[in-house]
Amino acid sequence: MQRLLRRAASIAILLAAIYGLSLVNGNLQDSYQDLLVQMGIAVTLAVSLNIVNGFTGQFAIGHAGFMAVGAYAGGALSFPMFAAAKKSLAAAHPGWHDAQIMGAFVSSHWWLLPAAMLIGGAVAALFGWMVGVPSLRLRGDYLAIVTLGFGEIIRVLLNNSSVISKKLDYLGGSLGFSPPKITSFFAVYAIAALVIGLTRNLKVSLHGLAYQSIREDEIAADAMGVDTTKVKVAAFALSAFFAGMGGALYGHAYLFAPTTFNFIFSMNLVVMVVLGGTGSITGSAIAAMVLTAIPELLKNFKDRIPGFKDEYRLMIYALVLVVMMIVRPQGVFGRAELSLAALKRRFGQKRARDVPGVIAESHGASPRPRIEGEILKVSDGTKAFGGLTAVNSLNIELNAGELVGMIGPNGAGKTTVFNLLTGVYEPTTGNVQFQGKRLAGDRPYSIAMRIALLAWDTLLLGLGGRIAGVIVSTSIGANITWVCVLIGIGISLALAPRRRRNRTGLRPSDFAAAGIARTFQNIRLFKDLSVIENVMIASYVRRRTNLFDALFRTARMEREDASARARAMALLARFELDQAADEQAGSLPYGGQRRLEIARALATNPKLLLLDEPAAGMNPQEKQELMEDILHIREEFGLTILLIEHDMKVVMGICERIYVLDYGEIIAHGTPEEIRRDPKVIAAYLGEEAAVC
Amino acid sequence: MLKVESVDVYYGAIHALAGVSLNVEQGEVVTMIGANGAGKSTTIRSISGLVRPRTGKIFFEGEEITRLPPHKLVARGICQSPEGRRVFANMSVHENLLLGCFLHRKNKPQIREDLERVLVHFPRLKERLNQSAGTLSGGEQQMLAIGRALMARPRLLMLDEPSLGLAPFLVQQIFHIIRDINAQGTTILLVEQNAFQALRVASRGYVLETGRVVLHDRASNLLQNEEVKKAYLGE
Amino acid sequence: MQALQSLLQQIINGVQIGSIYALIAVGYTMVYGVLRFINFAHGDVYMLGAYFGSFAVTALVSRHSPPFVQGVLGLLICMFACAVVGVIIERSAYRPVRKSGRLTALITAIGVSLFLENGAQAAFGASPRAFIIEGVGQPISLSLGGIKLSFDKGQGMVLIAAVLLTVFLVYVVRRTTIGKAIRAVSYDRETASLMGINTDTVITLTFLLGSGLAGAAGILNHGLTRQPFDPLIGITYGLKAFVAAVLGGIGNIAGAVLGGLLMGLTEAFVSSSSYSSFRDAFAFVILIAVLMFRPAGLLGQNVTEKV
Repeated sequence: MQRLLRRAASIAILLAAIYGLSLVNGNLQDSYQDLLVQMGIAVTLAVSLNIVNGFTGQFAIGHAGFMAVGAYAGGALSFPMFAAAKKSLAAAHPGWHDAQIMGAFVSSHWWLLPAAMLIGGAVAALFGWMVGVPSLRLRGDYLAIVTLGFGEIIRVLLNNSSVISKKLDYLGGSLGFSPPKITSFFAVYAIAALVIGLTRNLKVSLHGLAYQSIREDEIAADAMGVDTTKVKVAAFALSAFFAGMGGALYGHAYLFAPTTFNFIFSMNLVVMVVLGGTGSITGSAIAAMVLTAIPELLKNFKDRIPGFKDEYRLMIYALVLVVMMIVRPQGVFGRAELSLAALKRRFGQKRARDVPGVIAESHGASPRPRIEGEILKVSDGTKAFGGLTAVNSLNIELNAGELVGMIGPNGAGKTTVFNLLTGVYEPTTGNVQFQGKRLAGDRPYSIAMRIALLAWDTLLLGLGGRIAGVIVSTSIGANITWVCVLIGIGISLALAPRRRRNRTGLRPSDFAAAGIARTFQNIRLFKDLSVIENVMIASYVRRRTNLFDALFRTARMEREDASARARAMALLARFELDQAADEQAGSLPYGGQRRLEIARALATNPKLLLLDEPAAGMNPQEKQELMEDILHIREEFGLTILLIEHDMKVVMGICERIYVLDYGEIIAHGTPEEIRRDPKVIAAYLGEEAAVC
Repeated sequence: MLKVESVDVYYGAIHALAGVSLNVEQGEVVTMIGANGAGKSTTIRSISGLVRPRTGKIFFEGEEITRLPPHKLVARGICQSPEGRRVFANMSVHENLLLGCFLHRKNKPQIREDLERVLVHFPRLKERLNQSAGTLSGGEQQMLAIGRALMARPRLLMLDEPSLGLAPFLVQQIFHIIRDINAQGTTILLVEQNAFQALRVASRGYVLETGRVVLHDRASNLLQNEEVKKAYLGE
Repeated sequence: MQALQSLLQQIINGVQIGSIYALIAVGYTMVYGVLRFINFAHGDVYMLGAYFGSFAVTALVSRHSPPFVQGVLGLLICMFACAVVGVIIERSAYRPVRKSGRLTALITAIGVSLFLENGAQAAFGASPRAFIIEGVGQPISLSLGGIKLSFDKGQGMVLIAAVLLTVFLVYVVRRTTIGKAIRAVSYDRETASLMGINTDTVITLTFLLGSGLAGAAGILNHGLTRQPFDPLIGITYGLKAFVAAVLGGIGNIAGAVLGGLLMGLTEAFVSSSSYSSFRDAFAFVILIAVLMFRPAGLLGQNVTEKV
């Protein structure tokens, strides 16, 4: 209750301050008022783009498209309403001029701008979702071009709104659209403050950490149970929602046309995010204001200096941009935020350390009840890349509580096996069962489902064929549309036997949620996050909060964050890393990074732990310690462990059973003694000399 | 032949090398041993110009080479077979080997001669000359990486973890080859995890810990040294 | 008969414009190959190619050079000038940020692009221009068993020149030492440097080749077909060529050519159809449709990251 009151009070103060500023603003020159509104809208847009480009590290460069959607959707609501109101007001008060009509309209329709923003945001979020879902398989530059393409498609569609439907004629097509000008300084900055506040809440929450883990290392994030596809779609939709609100604000402030929201507009937004520092909300907000103001203020030069062409202004802007990037590639703020806490720290006041309030829930040091019997079973697992078979008809069984090793030369397929066991790869044939549940492979669709999918494919391809048909037909002046439709349907039917016999396999995050955790051969930590944050991310898989909790920082969210932190701290203490909790993970020494990786894997509460060459690069003394540690961990956390390792001493020393892999096949398996004497293993791997010693 | 004088290297804020000095004489095999993160690879990478030392100097045959780019060092006869082999997987074995002698590409007779010499060392590669390098096994790729470095006619050959990830019996073979290459007159600087094997082929050894040389002696002495035995030989 | 005639006519138009896209796309793809970054200023080099071409041709015309000399010399001057611009951009703007992140490089490229566009506007004015090499405007009519095809001599020459340049490029990349070095640097820059390859030189050479081809595209497209151009023309052509490069699988030269041709054909058919007002969207619709099924483009290799 007290929390709520405090929060309400600070929001009230903030709104009052913005209102005060809006009074000051009313006394400024029109051109400055105009610029300030532009700057405020730019803040909303840059901060919203930062969610995708900064937090999740994706590469979206079509943000203006979402803004356009918001501006048009919001306008589609307000424009007819205003037209009707104007007519009736003009009829009722024949003497009124435009400003009076507008005044009366605004006071009776005060709710219209918020409503328009909500609609703009919602429609834009829908588009964001639509762009997000198909783009998920794409990475980096491919994603970038799809977002860019989306922006362009939207622009072209809006340009042709009247071609699409006569009912959309009032959107103005390429000529421009002018919803009522009801955006106020107050609304612009209240929304900017709201978006900043919500984004900041997101950033500090467990959800925000999950977003950032994708930026740091997508594969590791997935292995820690962060469903990267879902998170990315959510990020896209959220970012689009805010952009849609910003678009609605813009739409009710200026006359605009589809070309307003062109590629260059999108690029300017990307520039703001990068120059401010990707990931820094403060940076995006300040860069948005400064970069909006500079070109406008430079306009003054044009009048003062004779011969100063308008182009010089933008050339200077471009040069500044290039120089800034060379001098400070990480942006002005990097990833840091300006906050009271940071200021206090700087001026000597030590931040009150987040004391783990819920320490009771420790990492579970009491030995957990052992599960009996078989825990993991791989049957006939085969993985081929193109023509190359990396792993061939693999059969592995692990019993609960066992410590099993896997050896073989590099390139024998050991890591491929791990990737099959963690869902990074889907087996070409065969399957993986964990605790009796099938996690990967051979999960055929029912006949009904396959028919439905085929129908869907046929519909899509038929439609594609029809569009292509209309184009070619009208282009060459002969009707061959039906031929193209038939070709489309034919392709669909021809491909049918080869497509989608299996459900898409579960994702690595599902494997993590099921209880399989792993470490990586070449350590994959979230390097720029702190040590404790690395471990906290593992709690995301068991979250009970949703995005709403994160955005509005509900009590539930705060509790969950605190308990994740406490759990992480307890685990760090177990691995003697608690002193370094707030350091950057990447700055830990090599041994510390290895330990942190294990701590992070354990934080997901696994039943099966896969260790990929944990002894790599350790000296014999460290190896000895590691061996003892692995045995301890197994008892302490009630684990089953599968270990890939080159070091024969380690493997022979602690493993109860060993699988030997060569050229993608298991050539032997048994106890260390059996393996040591196995002639096949000696010939292919150990060699005579090593077998003796 | 090679002289490294108190070199410091930083990766961002991380102090990777703190005043490392070492020297290699003509015809020697010198090894660097130490745990991961001790700075062995960084030392090699700063010699071959891939990372720039912040302070310190490196000399090769009396000439300072501290800030020269990698390709100029190759021209002076310093070649490196990088950690993790790094073969050009999309090219054939033959093309990989030819890239090794990129600087001598005009001298066709020499290339033919060198190719033959390398293929005598590595008969396995001869069988797979036209196969794409990506399809080779780990051991074969390592042979290719060493062979490729030999094609440049190095005077100083630096090998970064040549035995990493190989089957134990192949490890033996690689060390035999290293000995052969040295016997034919190439000076070798060897970075190895497998300290025992490395010290057996080397004449001298340096022990690195957290970016510093903590011990430096004749290899035979290091093999007897109690601390080395305990920390690196696991006895 | 009529329909077949229009079909062939559209194919000719499509291939002609497609070959221009292909020439530009090759530059995107090559730079992406060695630096893994999208050179957004590449379209502006094409724009400069059109301007350089118009200056060279105007100068040659005033000296009464024969049309053949106008064409060949103009092309060479133009390619050379654009190659120089490309090298200057690489050295001054891109090299300093090479070690920084990809977003940083992208923003730098946007800065360069803005600079070139506004610089061109300041220097040459914003109004559109057009020029033509003498004598290439002659219409040619072909008649094959009742099918009449008509096109300009210039259109045919665009195609021939584009094919020759592409063959030249493929020869350079596949057969020469420079090409081998470029491929090695594309695959693994650091290891390439350990082979004694001067990677800085190779990167510069890549920019030189790519920019030269973009320049060639500029003079060919505008000088042979009298298409008007202005300082912002690079944005549209650059964007379409970039889409072509991605469509074919970025980093892959054959893919860039294929993507360019597909893009050109699509454009030719769409702009003469009833959907013509949606022309600019179709490039992206096709791109998105292709990427859904082949996430790395038509000829691109889908590289799974090593774990």
